[in-house]
Amino acid sequence: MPERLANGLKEKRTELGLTQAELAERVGVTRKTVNTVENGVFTPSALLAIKLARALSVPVEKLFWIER
Amino acid sequence: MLFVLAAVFLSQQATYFSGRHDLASPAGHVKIAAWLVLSIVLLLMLATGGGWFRSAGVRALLNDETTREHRRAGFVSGFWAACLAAIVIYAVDLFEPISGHDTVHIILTVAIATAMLTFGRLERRAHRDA
Repeated sequence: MPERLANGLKEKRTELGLTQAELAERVGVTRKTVNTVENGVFTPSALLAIKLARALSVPVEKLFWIER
Repeated sequence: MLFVLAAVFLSQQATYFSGRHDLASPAGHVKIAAWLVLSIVLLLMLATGGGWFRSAGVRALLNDETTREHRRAGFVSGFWAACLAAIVIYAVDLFEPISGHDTVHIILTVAIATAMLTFGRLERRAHRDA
């Protein structure tokens, strides 16, 4: 069974009342990137994962985890 | 945008191969020069992400992680398409001689078109989901 990087980005973002565009602006990427990460289409680099976690004020391991 | 450019690029090849007999004429030289210029522009666009007339900040934003990943995927598929085209040309050349000029033209066209179409498809999919 292949491993994949799952995330709780959408849940955390909506919990904070942020739109994809607002989160994208905070991180300095396009909305397309936030959307593809949320949908699991794109696996972010460690750099982007940490930036996203920082923007949502959560530890990175709470935002991303390995799913088997 | 990329799909349109890829379509223009590919349709240009149809006129090149349909009028191969007159490539030595001035009109033929124009055709070859147009192909070469468009190839170089498209290669530069693929390599740099385009947006040359925008500010550095906007270019950096447009060239974010997913775009770079899509471009990388485009280059990979372009590389394999070029290898495949070279193998096919090599095989065909055993029966029907193909000039060096045509070989370069075909391989470069296949590589650029495949890279662009792959990049464009991935970008479209990412935008569609957004």
